[in-house]
Parts: sequence; C-alpha cells; structure tokens
Amino acid sequence: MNKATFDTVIHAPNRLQICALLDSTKELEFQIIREQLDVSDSVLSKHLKVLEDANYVQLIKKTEFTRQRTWVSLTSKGRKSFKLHLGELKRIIG
Amino acid sequence: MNNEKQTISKEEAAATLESVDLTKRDAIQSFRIPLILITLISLSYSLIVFSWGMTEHDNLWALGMYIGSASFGIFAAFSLYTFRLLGIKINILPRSKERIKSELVSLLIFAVILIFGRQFRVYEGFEYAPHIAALISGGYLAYLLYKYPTGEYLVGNQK
Repeated sequence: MNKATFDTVIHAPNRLQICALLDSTKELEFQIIREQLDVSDSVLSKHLKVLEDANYVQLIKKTEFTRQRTWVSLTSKGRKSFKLHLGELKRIIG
Repeated sequence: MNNEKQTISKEEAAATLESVDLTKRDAIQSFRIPLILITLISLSYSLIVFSWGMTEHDNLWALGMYIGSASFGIFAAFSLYTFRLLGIKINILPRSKERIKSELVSLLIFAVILIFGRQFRVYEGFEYAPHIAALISGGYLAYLLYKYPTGEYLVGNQK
C-alpha cells in the first residue's frame, strides 16, 4: 500500500469540497457554499474558521442592496496548498 | 495546524480525487447562467461575425457590427451581474495553464472563423460563407457558455 504524508487541514471531506468549489471561481457567497455542501450554517462556519486560521481562505462581509453578504475566496496560499494536495493524491495513485 | 500530517491508501486517494471532481462538476453545472442569456450573447456574436463578412465599405452591415458589438457587451456584462446576484464571482482572467491553453485555442478558432467568413465571400465569391461562419461561431460560443459557464475547464484528476 502506498503511503504519503500531507496537510490534514485541507483533507477533511467538507474542507476539501470547500476548496474545490472556491478553486473553480474567484469568490463565492457563504449561502452558495452551504447549498452546494448541503450543511448547516454552523458546520460551514466551523470549517471556514479552520481554513481561515490556516490562512487558506479569506472572508469578506459586504452589505449589498441592504443585504449582508459574506464572500469567501481562496488565498494564494490556500490555492497553492490545494493544488499541492491534489498533486500529492495523484502521486499516491501513481 | 498546517504541519499536521497523516497517511492514506491508494484507494482512499482515488476516492478523494473522485469526490473533488464530482464537487467541481456539480458546481459548474449549477453555476450556469440562464439559457436566454446564453442565446442572446451567442446571437449578438453571430451578428458581429455575419456583419463583418457582409460589410462593404460603410454599407448597412457596418451598422450591424456596431449593434452586435454593443449588445454583446451589454449581455456579457449582464451575465456577470447575474452571476454576482447568484453569489458567484467568476475569474475573468485565466489562472491555470489548462485554462490559458484552452482559451488560446478557442480564441484562434474564433479568429479563423471570423477571417475566413469574410475572405471566402470577398475573394472566392462564396456568398454563404458569412452565414456559415456566423452559425458555427455562434453555436461554438453557446456550447462554451453552456458547458463551461465559469470559464474553468475541468480536467479529470484521475488519470
């Protein structure tokens, strides 16, 4: 069995999905990510906090049309780490 | 936290990559703009190609080019605004090497169709060249907007 080491911050299923979603776009609103992942607000907040603490994502709160929106984006460090993580997974598969 | 390490098997790695692909695929499909906007953008572009192919000095088809260009710009801006209202900001400029390559190829295809649509009519006397060029380029643009709404070209992670 091939073994390899990698970053567990990204590898958790929900966080990996969050990174995959954000990698396809520039920014996504909190609600869109929640709908895509089909999780509760609190669960998503918890995962985003972990990613934010690792400096992998950036959260920006904006008021647009009298509505508070939270935009989430991958930082350059997060994008790089996500790519490295996928590269590591591909390497394991061979 | 970043330094936490763990190990996984080949099967787990394959399953993880598959889930990443699936997430991206689902997201790209659900991020699609309304079909009416795709149709309007494609028709505007077809009008530009057709008008360019039919233009003789400053005849009426030159006006078609201006109208096509203006409506193309308006509909493209409106599609970006629609994305924003939906809670999505797309990357306008390509980031990945795959996307740069794909966009250069698409750009080349559009340029060749645009040039040949006119050249075949003017120099070869083939009157329907602009019609065919407009149809192909409009159809190709509609396909790209439908299949790759965010502009990201999904390359399978598992090879």
